[in-house]
Amino acid sequence: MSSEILIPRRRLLQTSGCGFAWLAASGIAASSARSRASATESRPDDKSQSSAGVAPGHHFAPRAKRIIFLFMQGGPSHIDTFDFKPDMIKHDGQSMPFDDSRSIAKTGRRGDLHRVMKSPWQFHQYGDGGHWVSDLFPETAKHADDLCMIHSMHTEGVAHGPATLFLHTGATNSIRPSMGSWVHYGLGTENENLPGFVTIAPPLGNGGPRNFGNAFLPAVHQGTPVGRADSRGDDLMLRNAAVPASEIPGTRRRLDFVQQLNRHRLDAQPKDGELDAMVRSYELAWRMQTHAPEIFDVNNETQATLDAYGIGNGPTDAFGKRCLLARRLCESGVRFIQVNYGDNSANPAWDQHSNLPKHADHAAAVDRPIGALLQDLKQRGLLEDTLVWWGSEFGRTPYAQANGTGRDHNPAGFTVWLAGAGVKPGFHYGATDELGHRAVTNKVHMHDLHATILHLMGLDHQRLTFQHAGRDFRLTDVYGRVVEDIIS
Amino acid sequence: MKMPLNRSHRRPWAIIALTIALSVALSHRLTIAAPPDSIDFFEQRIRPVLIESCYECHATDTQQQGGLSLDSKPGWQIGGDSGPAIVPGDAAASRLMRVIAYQDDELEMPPDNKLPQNIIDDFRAWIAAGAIDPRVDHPAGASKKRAKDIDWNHAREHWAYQPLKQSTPPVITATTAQIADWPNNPIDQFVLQSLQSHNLLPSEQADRFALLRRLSIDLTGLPPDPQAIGDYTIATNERVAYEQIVDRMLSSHDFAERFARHWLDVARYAESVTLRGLVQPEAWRYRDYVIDAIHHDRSWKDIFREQIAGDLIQTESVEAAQRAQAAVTFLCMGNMNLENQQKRGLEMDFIDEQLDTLGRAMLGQTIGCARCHDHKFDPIPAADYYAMAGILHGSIGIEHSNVSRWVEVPLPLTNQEADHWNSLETELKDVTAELAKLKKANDRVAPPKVAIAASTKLPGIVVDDRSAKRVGDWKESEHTKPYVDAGYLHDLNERRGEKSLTFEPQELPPGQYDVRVAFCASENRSSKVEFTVFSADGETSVIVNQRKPATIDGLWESLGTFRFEPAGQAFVMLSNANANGHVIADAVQFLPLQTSVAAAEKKGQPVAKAEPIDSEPENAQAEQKRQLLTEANLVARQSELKKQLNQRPKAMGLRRREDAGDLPIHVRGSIHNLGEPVGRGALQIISDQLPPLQIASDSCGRIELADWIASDQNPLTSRVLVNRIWLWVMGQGIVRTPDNFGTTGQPPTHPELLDWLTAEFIQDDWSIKRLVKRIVMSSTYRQSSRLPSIDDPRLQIDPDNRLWWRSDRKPVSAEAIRDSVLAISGELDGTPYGSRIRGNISADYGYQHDDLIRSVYMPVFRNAIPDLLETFNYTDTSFVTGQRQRGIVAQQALAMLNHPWFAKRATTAAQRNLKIAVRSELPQYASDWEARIGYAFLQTLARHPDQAELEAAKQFVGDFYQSITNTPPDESAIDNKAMGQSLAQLYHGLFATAEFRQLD
Repeated sequence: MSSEILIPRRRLLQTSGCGFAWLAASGIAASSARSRASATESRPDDKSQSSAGVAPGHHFAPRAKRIIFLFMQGGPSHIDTFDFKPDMIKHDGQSMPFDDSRSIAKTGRRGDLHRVMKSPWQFHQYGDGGHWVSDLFPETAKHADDLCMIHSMHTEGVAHGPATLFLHTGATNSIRPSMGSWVHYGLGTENENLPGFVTIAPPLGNGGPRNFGNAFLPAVHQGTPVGRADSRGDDLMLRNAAVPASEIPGTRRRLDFVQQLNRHRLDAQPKDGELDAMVRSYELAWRMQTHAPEIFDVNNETQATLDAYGIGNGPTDAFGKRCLLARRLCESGVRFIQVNYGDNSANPAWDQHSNLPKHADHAAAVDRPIGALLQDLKQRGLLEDTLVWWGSEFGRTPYAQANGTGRDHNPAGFTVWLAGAGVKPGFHYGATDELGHRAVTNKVHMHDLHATILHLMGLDHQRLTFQHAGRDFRLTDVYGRVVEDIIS
Repeated sequence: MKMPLNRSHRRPWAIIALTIALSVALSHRLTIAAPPDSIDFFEQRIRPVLIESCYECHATDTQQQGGLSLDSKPGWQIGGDSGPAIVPGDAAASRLMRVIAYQDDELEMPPDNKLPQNIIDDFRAWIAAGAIDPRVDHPAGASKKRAKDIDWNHAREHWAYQPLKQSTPPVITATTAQIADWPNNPIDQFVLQSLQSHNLLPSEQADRFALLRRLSIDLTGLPPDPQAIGDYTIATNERVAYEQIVDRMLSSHDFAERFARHWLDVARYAESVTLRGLVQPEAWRYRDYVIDAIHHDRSWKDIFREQIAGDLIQTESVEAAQRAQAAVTFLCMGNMNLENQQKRGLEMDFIDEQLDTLGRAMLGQTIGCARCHDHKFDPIPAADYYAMAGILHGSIGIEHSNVSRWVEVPLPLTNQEADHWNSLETELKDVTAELAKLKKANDRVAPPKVAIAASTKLPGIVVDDRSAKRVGDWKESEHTKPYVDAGYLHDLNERRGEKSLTFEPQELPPGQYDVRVAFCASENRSSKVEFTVFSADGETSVIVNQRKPATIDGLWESLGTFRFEPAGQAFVMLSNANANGHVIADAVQFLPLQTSVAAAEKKGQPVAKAEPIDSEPENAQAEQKRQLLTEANLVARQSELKKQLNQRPKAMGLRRREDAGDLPIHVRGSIHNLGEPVGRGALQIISDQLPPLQIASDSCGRIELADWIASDQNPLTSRVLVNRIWLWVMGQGIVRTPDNFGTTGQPPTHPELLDWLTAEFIQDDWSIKRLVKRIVMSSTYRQSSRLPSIDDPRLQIDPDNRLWWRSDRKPVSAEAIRDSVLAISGELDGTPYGSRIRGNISADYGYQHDDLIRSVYMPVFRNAIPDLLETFNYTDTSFVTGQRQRGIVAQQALAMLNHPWFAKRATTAAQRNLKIAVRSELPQYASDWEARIGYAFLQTLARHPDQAELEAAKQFVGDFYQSITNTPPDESAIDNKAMGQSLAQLYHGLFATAEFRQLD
């Protein structure tokens, strides 16, 4: 960094709440520079240095370089997918007392009687580890020996909205940065020609943009949405980056003219760091516009690959495209990729309050693409430094809701699985009670999962902080513990 | 559901394998059976568990989570934040016992694994026997520090808590004539003095082009037009011309719209909430209130008072009362989680949001930090928080239901208006009474219209019992008429709670529906059959009495009106739980609501062609038909009246809470952990400077709080606001943390200037326009923003420009970018005021914004912020934003270059350009098309191009022109269409320049 631009840059770093945003955008900010900026900015006095607002890049050696989060919106039932509970068969149809999370929240009442409803699907054991997986996920099950299951998840929020926000931001209110933004804030991007945090086909509801928002973090850490939740996967493109081929020469000429004026201005004010960053941002924009269409076009893949992901026809088409795009982004160095399976309703996708068998439709849409993604990542060696995370905002109750044909929300116990970088393959951790209702052994709170995932990325959840409104905020608030036992 | 702030158990906890705890348990089981009141019992059964399972987080030398340490007897005697952990002799009253037995929803310890039951039993026995603990002399335990006490005298020394200091503008000792002339008003004297003390000099005045653009965007959010640029730049008396322009801009409506938006950022203004995207259709009144107040330069003392207690203030006119009522919306716009099932917790969250917003927006204090414990850095004890929370708790801002809702209150009206609405209301009452009377008469007859209704002939979508999903054994029957299709089902009056039916339509188009259920009544039925409707609004249970005949056609009972959305849940469940007789299930009907009025009007005709009931005589049928027609008319009128009354002007506001009073401290923010009640009041730290806040016996205290905040004596309120206004004009505050005047904020760069400005502001009756004028008239404001050469001492000594030795180069706000483009293209729709939400929408998802209205009027939807605003560092609508971010990201360049909106505006701007007789206006250009280029520069960048820029632009435009016409532009034969397209390219390019986004 030349001394010539040092001074204005320092000025810029210090004068605005997000001084380093454009530096990150133009790929010229070392993480140390960002941490200094943040520290200088946030903590002028000494006494509060104890938990200094520092985003220091890696706190320790990372196990994972990037994340693919497969978000199953609406709450797939853990006891019908990955958490096998044979006792449910024994008690099927019996009325038994349960501490229902909804009742507790509303009235504090416990021990309501509900009728146990066994799973309509068979479970089988897979792989050397003998993971139990139901018939809903036969393709995913083939990778059982790569999966690290956490069966003892619990979280906050009985309704979708709050629980979805909690999953993404660590809070049920609406003013916290999303996890992807925190990761991006901590680590920046690997490929400056693409956004570092992409969410594919995000749902509009249940927090919508808040689930990939930066809140008070600098805007550069915001997630970039690609495509809509209700589309068939034909709109997977960066906003404003797809220009029809016939218009590209014209766009280029326009950019050249703009840059000519910009550089002319910069020549007169060579030390204006902000202007300098703007000039660079146009170059970056052009590179994005040039590279993105190719990266985002999944049709560049071989027919065999397209077939493997189930792209073309049938129920797997849309989610297959999203998963394949995720692999391509992963390959291109995008730090945090969220692949959404959901819709825009208030009671989305996996939310089977009635008609539990409808789970089969959703499983049919996602299972094959997920299996293909795992296979693909493994084949390309990407699984070694990519963490795959499958999960939802909560699970479902082992009893039939209101005696019907579906299951209610269950934030007290559910399963997520991780695969790839840094986690024990073919492992399972924690347990729910014998009917799968509440996590009881080695409980892992959503805060703990967040802490653990940050840890795998080389970030200390207690040190990844940002000062806002007079205090330091972090993803895990004042909670969270790293679940060391699942780390390989 | 647990509240995030209420939990203290999610602490990093030792990873304790269950096996360790078990082995401890087993090993001492095998040794001896010491009595629970013995030291041996403690040593063998209690201490090992404490060490293994608790010390990691609850020891003096570890974390003392929740303030609790368990490594000494005084540790649990004094206890943590929630008080003593153990009550010797009373296990049931001991918090520790509840927590390890997992009997407390808020707190379960250890958090990852419950202790084995035998260990829990040991603890219970040990406590019951007196909690014998020999560890009395633990050094740290005895001296365990309780919450630190605030050193008030020391705390008061913080600059912001000091009363305003009388400051007089310093006398400048001028070394040169240039310096002597520089100060234009006292602001400059303060600024110059501090520059001089660092041996620095101010910058020269910005050139007129740059200055006018700066002034215009700063004050109006719009660029100056070429005419105004021409006038100002050739004015012989620049000072007079400048002041005239300032006055003109300050009195323009654009000024109010621009500055209102600044305050709307602070007030976290929005017109919907994130969760469920619920649209708040009355929020716009607050936006209009702020614009109107600024336009009329009303005193901000009143504006602040009204935002806190406008609904309680005596006003002189109906208009004033309406304004004041709308102002209270300020307290109601929090982005709340209305789905929170724990309603008491939701209420405290709502108050917290109000207090946090009010504290930061008006007082520059992070009061919200004192919700769970005394503020860690500032002298704000939790008692102050609950003193103020108690005041806010005196009003209700949320009505509860499954998804709670904000409160709307009627706006005060003139007598004439009130008469109109009252007469409608009276009529509605009459119609409703008349209908009830008719219904009662009908009920007596209760003649079923048909014996068997065919579902295919019924309106709406009907799901018959035969397509319902059955759980348990249901008996098919045709015993009692009427019914739909082939009979009905009943539960055999047995196995209660084990049977259910789910009625789910194959496909239900989204919309509002009246949901009805069919049954045939009889005495042997259950009088409390529970139906649950699953809709976009969640789950709603309705109890139906099947002993009495159904009220609609003797067959149907309405469960209410529900909203269903695409791909959302849409079904009705029926359970036989809690029944007290036979449960009947026949059919469920979803009647689309739009057509329900029409349907009611047609109701005189038979619902469907079905077999008439034989016994009914002809004349009775005719009589019934006549009645139904009357009824239909009444129903239609009722619906019309309701619709009209719904238009009665209302605003988001607050209702009086009947059980208002003092609130107890909520330990660690928990509603389950209450301490002593705190008398209502305000911040103690500045209480000595203000008259004591005395709350009248019949008052919740809000009006008193409003007076306390909006007081000349309050050292925070006016300073915080003056600093904001300075920031809105200058780009940086005198205090650079505008929302935080506490000890973690930054101190003022010019404390005397801040106090002087504040004193003047108070003197001017809190007038924003006078203050803004004072600032923009200063030489400080008018300086050039140019950076000097790298070796200039000013850059070395003060790279941050904290001393104001030049003007800061500022980003143009998202709104100003958008509005400027529209102004240049001539398309800006400047219609002021009013609700701008298009269509009767309840959720904001995917809202399509109007392309042309001024940005401040675009509905602020939290799930649908317009791309073009969001991309350019728009505010975060969920919290107080005193200063927007300045991020530069590639997406901005992409939008500028490729977003079709810019291309469209550029095309229109070019067409407009071509209509202007540009040569007469700009004779200095060599040709017509050069002048057109010059005109475009004037419009967009408010200056002429220099020679290099003109050449570049000519090349760019000329090349494009040639690419279409195959000839270079020639003055004598310009192809206007091609020139229009070429100029459109130029405008698009100029919009996309960095300069367009920067303010020199």
